[in-house]
Amino acid sequence: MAKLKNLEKYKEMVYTCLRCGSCRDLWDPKENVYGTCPIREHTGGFDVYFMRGKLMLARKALEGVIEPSEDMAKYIYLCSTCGNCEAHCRISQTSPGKVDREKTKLDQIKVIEAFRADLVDLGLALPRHKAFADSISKNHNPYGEPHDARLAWMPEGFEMPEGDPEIIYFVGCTSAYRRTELAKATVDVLRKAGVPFKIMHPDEWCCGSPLLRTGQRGLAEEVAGHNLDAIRRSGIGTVVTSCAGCYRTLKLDYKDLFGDLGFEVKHISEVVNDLIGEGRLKLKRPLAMKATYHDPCHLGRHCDYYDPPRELIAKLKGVEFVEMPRTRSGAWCCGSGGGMKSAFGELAIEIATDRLKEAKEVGAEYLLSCCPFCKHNFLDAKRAMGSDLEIYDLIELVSQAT
Amino acid sequence: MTKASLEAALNEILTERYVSNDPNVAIAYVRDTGIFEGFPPEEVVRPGSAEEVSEILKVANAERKPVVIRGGGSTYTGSCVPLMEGTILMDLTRLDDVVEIDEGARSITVQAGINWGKMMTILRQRGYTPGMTGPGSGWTATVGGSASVASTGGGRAKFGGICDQILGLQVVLPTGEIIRTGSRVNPYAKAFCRYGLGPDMTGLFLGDHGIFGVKTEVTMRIHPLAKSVVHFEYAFRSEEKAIETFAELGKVNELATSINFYDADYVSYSARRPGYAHLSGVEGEVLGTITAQSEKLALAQKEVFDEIARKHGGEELEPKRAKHAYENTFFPYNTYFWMRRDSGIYLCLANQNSADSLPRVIRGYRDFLKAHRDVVDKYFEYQGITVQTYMRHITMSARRYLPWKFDMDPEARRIAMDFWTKEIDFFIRNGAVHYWIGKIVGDRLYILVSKEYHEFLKRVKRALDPNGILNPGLFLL
Ligand SMILES: Cc1cc2nc3c(=O)[nH]c(=O)nc-3n(C[C@H](O)[C@H](O)[C@H](O)COP(=O)(O)OP(=O)(O)OC[C@H]3O[C@@H](n4cnc5c(N)ncnc54)[C@H](O)[C@@H]3O)c2cc1C
Ligand code: SF4
Ligand code: SF4
Repeated sequence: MAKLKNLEKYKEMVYTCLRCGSCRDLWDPKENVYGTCPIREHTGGFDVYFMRGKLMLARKALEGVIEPSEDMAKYIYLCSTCGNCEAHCRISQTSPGKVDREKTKLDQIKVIEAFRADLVDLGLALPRHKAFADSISKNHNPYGEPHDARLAWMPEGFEMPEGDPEIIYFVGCTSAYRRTELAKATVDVLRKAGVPFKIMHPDEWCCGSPLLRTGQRGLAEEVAGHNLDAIRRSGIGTVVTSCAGCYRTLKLDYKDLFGDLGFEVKHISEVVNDLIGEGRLKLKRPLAMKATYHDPCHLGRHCDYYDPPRELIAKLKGVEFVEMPRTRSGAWCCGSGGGMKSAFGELAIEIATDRLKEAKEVGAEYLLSCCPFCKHNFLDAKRAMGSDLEIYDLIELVSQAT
Repeated sequence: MTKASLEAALNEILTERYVSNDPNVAIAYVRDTGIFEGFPPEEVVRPGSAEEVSEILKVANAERKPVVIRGGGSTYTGSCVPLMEGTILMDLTRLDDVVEIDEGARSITVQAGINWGKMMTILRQRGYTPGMTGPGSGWTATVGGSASVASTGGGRAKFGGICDQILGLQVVLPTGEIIRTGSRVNPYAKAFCRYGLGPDMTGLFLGDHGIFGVKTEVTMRIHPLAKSVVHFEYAFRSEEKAIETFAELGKVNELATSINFYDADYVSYSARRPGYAHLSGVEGEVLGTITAQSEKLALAQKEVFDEIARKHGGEELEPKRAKHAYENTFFPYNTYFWMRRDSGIYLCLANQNSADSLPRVIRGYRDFLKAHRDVVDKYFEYQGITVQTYMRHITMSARRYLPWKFDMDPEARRIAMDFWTKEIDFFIRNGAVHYWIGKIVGDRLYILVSKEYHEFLKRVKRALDPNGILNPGLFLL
C-alpha cells in the first residue's frame, strides 16, 4: 500500500511476528522480567495495546484490510517504545539490544516508528506531538521555551577548567529547561575533575529524539543534521550526554541517518567512572542511603548500557545498593518515552507509579536513574502518590559526593 | 438488540475499559499463531471474574450471540479465532492470579487466564512444580487454554500431560451457571482430588476446546522441586536399536521427566551444526532427564537406563542437549519424539501415538514426504532435507522460519494449507491422536469419527449449550 511507504520497508519484519504473545505478559526470572508491556497493564489490555496486536494492525493496514484513521493512530502512539517487548521476544532476540541491530531479526521499535512516520505523512500525527514539533522548529526545543534561555541554568561565575575542550557536553532540552539540576550537577562534576568542555550554545538544538520517536522524521533529520554539523565543526572527538534520550539518538539514530559519525558518544556515567579510575575525580564525601537504580529504556535496552551506572554506584561510599526485581533488560519503563508524556500524560504518570512502588518494596529510600526525562516523570508520580521516595539522577549524587 | 445496545449491556457488566467494538481492536484477533485466518469479532471483552463471565454469557444467550473464548491465543489450528461474523470474543487473560497454593492439600489453584511462566515463577519460589511444566509456548499460553486443548509439555514422561495433573475446575457453563468440579464439589472439602464424586465431570471439560464451558479456575497437583537432577544421552549406530531403547526406557521409567528420541535424519542434521561433529555416523539418539528427591534415587534409575542402552549398543555421550532442554523452561525446541507417562509417545506435530508405532510412522512419514517432494523441495528445502527438520519446521518451530513467507505469498499459503491438511490426514490414518485440534485438525478428524460418537457429542453440547453459543464451528458442531 503506497500510503504506508515507510512501513512497507519493514513488511517482512511485520510478518515474522509469530504472534506468540510473549510481549503480553512474560514472566521469566532468568531475564528479570515480570510482565512485559506497561501500556497493556494500564489500559483495557486488548491485544492492540501491546506489540502482538500492533503488529497485526500493521499487517492488516499493509494488506489494505483496514484504513489508517485517528483511532488507529491512537493505538500506534500508545507505546512508550520502551523495547521490553523486543528485548524478550523470542524472534527478535538474536541480539538483545539495538547496538547490533543488523543482527536483530524483528525490530519492533523500528516498525512502530515507521508506522508513525506514515501516520504523520497521512496527517494523523497527534496534536500534542505536532505542537512540540512546532516548538522545536521555532525554538529548537519541545518545551516552547526561548532558545536564548537554553543556558539560563548555568551557575553564575562558573569557572571552566583551563585548556582546550576535551569533550562536548550535549545538555539536551529536558536538562536545559526542566531538570536543570542535572545540567548543573554535570558541569559541577566536570569542573571538579578538571575537564575542560564545550557547550555548543547557540548551536545545540534539540537532538531530535522526540521527533524520531513520534514519526516526525523530516524535522528530525533537519535538527540532527544541524547538530551533527556543529559537532563536526568543533573538531572535538567526544560528545557526552547526561540524558538517555540524547545518548540513544546521537549514538544510534544519527548513525542510522548519516552513517559513520566521526566522533564518540558517551554517557556521563561512563565518563565519571573513567575520571575516578584515572584519579582525576575524588569521591570525598560519603553518602548515607539505601538506593535502587532504574535502567532508562533508551540507555538500557536500546543501547545495552547496564553496567556503568551500577559500577559507579558501587564506587559511591555510603550507598547501600539494592536491585528491583524488574531490572536491566527487564526494567519496567517509567512510562514517559515515545511521545507518551506529552500525548498521554496521565497514563505516563500512572505507569511511573509502578516503579516507585517497586522501589519501595525492595526497601529503597532513593530511586536513581540516568535520564532527566525518567526523573521528571518519577517526580510527577511521586507528587501524585504522595510518596516519600527520593528521586535523584546519579550525576547529582556524584556531585554531592565529590 | 442493536450493536449499540449490546455494547451498552456489556459495558454495564465490565465498564467501558474492558469492552471494545473498535475495528482496530477486533482485527488483532483474526489469527492465532497459525496461518488460518478467521473473522474479526464484533465485540471484544476482557472479563475479570467468573461472575462477569457468567453475565456476559447470559447476555450472549439472550441475543444468540456466538462467543469465542481466547486464552493466550497460542494454538495454531484455528481454535480461538472467530469462525464466523458477529461474535463476541472473550479474552480471558485478565484472570491471571494465583488463587491458592495449598501445601497441605498439595495443590495450586489458579485463575484460568494465568500464563505458565507466571504460575511457575510463583510456584518455584515456594519450592514446588506442577510436574507437567507447561507447553513449549508456556511463556504466553494460559493454564485454562492448555487444559482446554489437553496440552503436553515438560515433565510428560513422569507426570503425563496437563489433564493428568488437574484435580478440579471452576467452570462457567454456556448458560451462565458457575460450577466446580473435583473434590470441591463438596463445599467442606479442600482442593486435593478429582475422583470419587460420581462421574469424572472434570474430564468432560478437559480438551473440550471450550465448547462445554469457560474455565475460570484450574486446580493442579504440585510436587516438591527435585533435589537431584541427572541427565542422560545415548548414541546408537542403528536407528532401530535407538528406537528399541526408547521404548524400553519408557516401560521401566519411574523417575525420568523426559525421555526423547532423535531419529537418523535429525541426528545427521545436528551433526552438520557447529559443536556436534561427534554425532557423525550416529543413527539415533535417546536422551532425557531424571529428577528425584535424592541423588541415590536418581542414579539408581540412571543405572537401569544405562544397562538397557548398553544392551542395545548405546554409547553414552555428555548430556549437553538433555541439559539444555531441561534448563530452558518452555522451549526445548530440539525434541521430537517424547515419551508419555503411559504407553504412548508424543510427536512434535501435536499428535501422539502408541510407542510401538514409531518405526512404522517414521517410515511412512519419510515416504509421505517423498511423495510430496515438489512442495517440500520448493518450500522447505533450504533448511536441509530431513524428516525431523521437516517436522520441526512444518509445525511449531516452523513459526519461526516459514509462515511469514507463506503469508506474504497467497499462493504459497494455499499450498502450505493444502500440504498441512494432507499431513494431518496421514497422521490420523496412521493411528495418531492429536492433543490439540482446533478447526484445522478437527475438520479432518470429525469426518472419520463414528456417527454415533459425533451424535453423542452433539447431544452433550445441546444439553449444556442449548443455543450453541460457545465456540461454534469446532468439531463440526
Ligand atoms: C512455539 C509454540 C510451542 C508450542 N508448544 C506446545 C507444546 O509443547 N505442547 C502443547 O500442548 N502445545 C504447544 N503449543 C500450542 C499451544 O500454545 C498450547 O496448546 C497452549 O496450551 C494453548 O494455550 P492458550 O492459552 O494459548 O490457548 P488458546 O490458543 O487461547 O485457546 C485454545 C483453545 O482453548 C479454548 N480456551 C482457552 N481458554 C479457555 C478457557 N479458560 N476455558 C475454556 N476454553 C478455553 C479456546 O477457545 C481454544 O479453543 C505451542 C505453540 C507454539 C506457538
Ligand atoms: S512481537 Fe515477538 S513476542 Fe510479540 S507476538 Fe510477535 S513474536 Fe511474539
Ligand atoms: S515497546 Fe514497550 S510500550 Fe511499546 S508495545 Fe513494546 S512493551 Fe509495550
